Amino acid sequence: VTALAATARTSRLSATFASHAMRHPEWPVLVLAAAAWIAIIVRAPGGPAVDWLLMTSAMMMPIAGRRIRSVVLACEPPVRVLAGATTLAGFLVAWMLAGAVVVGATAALPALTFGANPLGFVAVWWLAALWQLTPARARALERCHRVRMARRRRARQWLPGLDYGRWCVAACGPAMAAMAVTDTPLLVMAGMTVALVAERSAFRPRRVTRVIALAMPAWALTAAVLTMLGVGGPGHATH
Amino acid sequence: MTARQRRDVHSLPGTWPPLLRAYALAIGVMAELPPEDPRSLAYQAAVHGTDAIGKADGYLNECQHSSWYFIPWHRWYLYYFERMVRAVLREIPEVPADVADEWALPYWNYGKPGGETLRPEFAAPELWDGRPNPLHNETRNAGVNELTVVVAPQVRVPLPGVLDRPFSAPQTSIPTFGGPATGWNHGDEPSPQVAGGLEGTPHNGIHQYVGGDMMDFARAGFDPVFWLHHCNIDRYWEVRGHATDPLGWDGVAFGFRDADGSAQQVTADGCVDTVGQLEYAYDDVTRPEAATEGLRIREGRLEVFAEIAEFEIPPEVVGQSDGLRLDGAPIGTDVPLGRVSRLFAAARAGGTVPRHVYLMVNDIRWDADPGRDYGVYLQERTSSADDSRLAGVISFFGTRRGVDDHELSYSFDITDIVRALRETGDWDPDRVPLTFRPLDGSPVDQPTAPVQVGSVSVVYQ
Repeated sequence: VTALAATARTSRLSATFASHAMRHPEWPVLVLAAAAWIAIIVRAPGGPAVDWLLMTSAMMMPIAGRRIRSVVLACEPPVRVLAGATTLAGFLVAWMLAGAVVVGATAALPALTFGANPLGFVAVWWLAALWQLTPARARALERCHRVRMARRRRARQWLPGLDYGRWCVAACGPAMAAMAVTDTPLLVMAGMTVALVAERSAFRPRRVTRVIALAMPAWALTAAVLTMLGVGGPGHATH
Repeated sequence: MTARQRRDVHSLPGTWPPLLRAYALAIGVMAELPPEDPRSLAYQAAVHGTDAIGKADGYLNECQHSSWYFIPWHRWYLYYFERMVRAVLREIPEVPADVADEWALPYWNYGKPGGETLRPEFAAPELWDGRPNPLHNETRNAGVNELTVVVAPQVRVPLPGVLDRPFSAPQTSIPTFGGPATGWNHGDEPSPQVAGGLEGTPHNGIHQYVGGDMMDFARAGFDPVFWLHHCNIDRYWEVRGHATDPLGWDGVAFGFRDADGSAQQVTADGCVDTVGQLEYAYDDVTRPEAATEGLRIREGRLEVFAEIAEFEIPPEVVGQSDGLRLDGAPIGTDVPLGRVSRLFAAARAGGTVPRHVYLMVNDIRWDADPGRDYGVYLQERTSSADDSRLAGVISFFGTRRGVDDHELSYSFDITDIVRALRETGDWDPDRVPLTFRPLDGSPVDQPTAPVQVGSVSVVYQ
C-alpha cells in the first residue's frame, strides 16, 4: 500500500511538472537571464562585446520570454525546441548588431561617465528619455508586441526572431546604449529591467513609458548630486 | 428606481415608435456637438478607437478586444453612452420628459425571425417629417440599407456550445465565451490576438455584414446601429448567466467620462448585475435557436466543458497547415496530424487520447475589407457545405485598421465533429481536410479583397 501510494504521489508530481513545463516553455530563457545577471554581479571576465551580450541577455531575455512562449506554444512537439531556440538566436543577433554600434561608439567617443564628462553624461540620458516619448518609439513598442512566425518552416524562426529583435532594439536600444556608455550601476540596471518588463505587461503601457522617460533625467540629476557630494555615482561605481 | 427595459428593436410597434424617434433626434444632436464634448458622437466613437495616438484625453482609444474584458468593457461603454443619450434627450424640447428619462438602448436581435435585416428606420434616408435621418449611414454594404441582403444564418447567433464555454481561459488556444485572460488589451497584448466565441460570432460577423464604418475600430461608433448591435452582444451575457463569471479580473479599471464630463473609474466585476448595478434589464434572455439544421445537429451532440479542472491540462498543437489565401472562392487545405508529446502524456498520467479537439485559424491578415465571412468546414472542398461540420466562422472586424501587422486568430471547439466523424469511420488520424467557404448572406456583389491566413492548427487537450 505504501509503495502504491508513493507511486501515485510520484505520478501526480510528474503530471504536475509536465503540466507546468507545457504551460511555461519560457523558463529556460529566464534561467539564462538569471545566469547573465550572476555573471554581471561576479564581474565575469570579458571584453566590451561580452559585457554587451551579458547586459542584453540579463535585461532583454525576461522581455523575450513572453514572445518565445507564444512561439513554442504555437508549434507542434517535434519543432518546438528548435523554434524557440532560433527565435532567441535571431533576437540576440539583432541585439549584438546594435551592440557593435554601441561598442564602436564607446571606443570612438570620449568617456561619458559623469566623473569624466558630466555634460555628455546628462546629454546621453536626456536623449534616451526624449526617444522614449517619440511616436516612432511607441510604434516600435507596438511592433515588438506582435508575434510573426515563419509558418512554412516552423522550426526555423531566425528571421522572425531577428525581426522581433529589430523592433525591440528600436524600442529599448537607446536606453540600453545609455546604460552601456555611461557605466551604469547594477541597481539602476535592475530598476530599468523591472521598468521595461512592466512596460510590456502594464495595464496602460503609455503611463509606464512616461514614468521611464521621467526616471532617466531624474537618474542623471541624482548621479550629478551623488558625484558632487562625493558619495559615489556612475563615475565611481563600475561593474 | 426600477430598471429600464432594453427591448428588441424589431419588436417595437408601428413605424418610428417614440423610442426610435428619440434615438434619431439624440444622434442628430450628438453628431453636431464638438468632438471634445463627451456627449458628441465623435467623442463616443473615439472612446472605442481613434487613429490619433496620444490624445490628451486619457479616455479615448480604449476598446477591449480578444480579451476577457471585451464583454464587460463594452457593457460599461454602452452604459455611459446610454446616459449621454438621455442627457441629450432632456435638452430636446420635442422629446417628452418621460421618454427622455426612461430611454434605454434597444437591441438588434438578428437571431430572431424577422430580425435578419436592419429595421427600416435605420435604412431610410429621411425621418418621418422629411429631414435627413441621423440613423441612416451610407457607408454600409450594398444591400444592407436596401434591406435586400440578410445576415448569413451561420452568424445570427453564437456558434453551438459557445454560450456554455468557460468565460475565459489562461491559454489562448482554448475556445472561450468571453475571450482569453489578458491584461488591458487595446491590441497591445502580445500576439496571438484570439477572439472569444461571442466576439467572433455573432459580433464580428455582424460588423462584417453591415460593413462601412462598422468595419473600422475608429469609425464603428459613428454608425447608430453599432450601439444596438453591441446591446445584443451584451444581452448574450445575460442569456448565458453569471454562474461561472471569471474571478480575479477586477484588477484592471476602465475609465469613462459621464454625461456631465466627470471621470469615472469602473471594473469588470462592477457590471455583472444589470439590474442592481446598472439599472437596466433585457426583455428576453431565452436561449437562441441555431438557424440551420446542421448547426442544430451540432448542438445536439455537445457536452458540457468542465472548466476549471480542465485548465490544469494544457492543450498542445499536434498539426499545422501552411498559410493560405482566401479570395472569395471556396478553398481547401489539409492539416497534417502528428503525435502528442511525452509531456502531454505525462500531464495526463500516461493518456494520449485528447478529451477536446480545437481548430485554430492563425494570424489572419488583410489590407482591405474582404467583404464577407468565411465558414471553416471539416470537409473536402468537393463536398457540398454541411453545417454539422462547420467548425466556425471567420470575420474580419476585430483589429485596428491602420496598424501594421494587424492580425486576428480564432479558436473553435471541434470535439463533437471529430467524435461524429470517428463514429462514422470518416476520421483520418493523419490529416484533417478543411474547406473555407464564403457564407451565403454575405454581400457577394461587392469586390473581394484577399485575406491571408497564416496557418490552421489542430490542438489536442
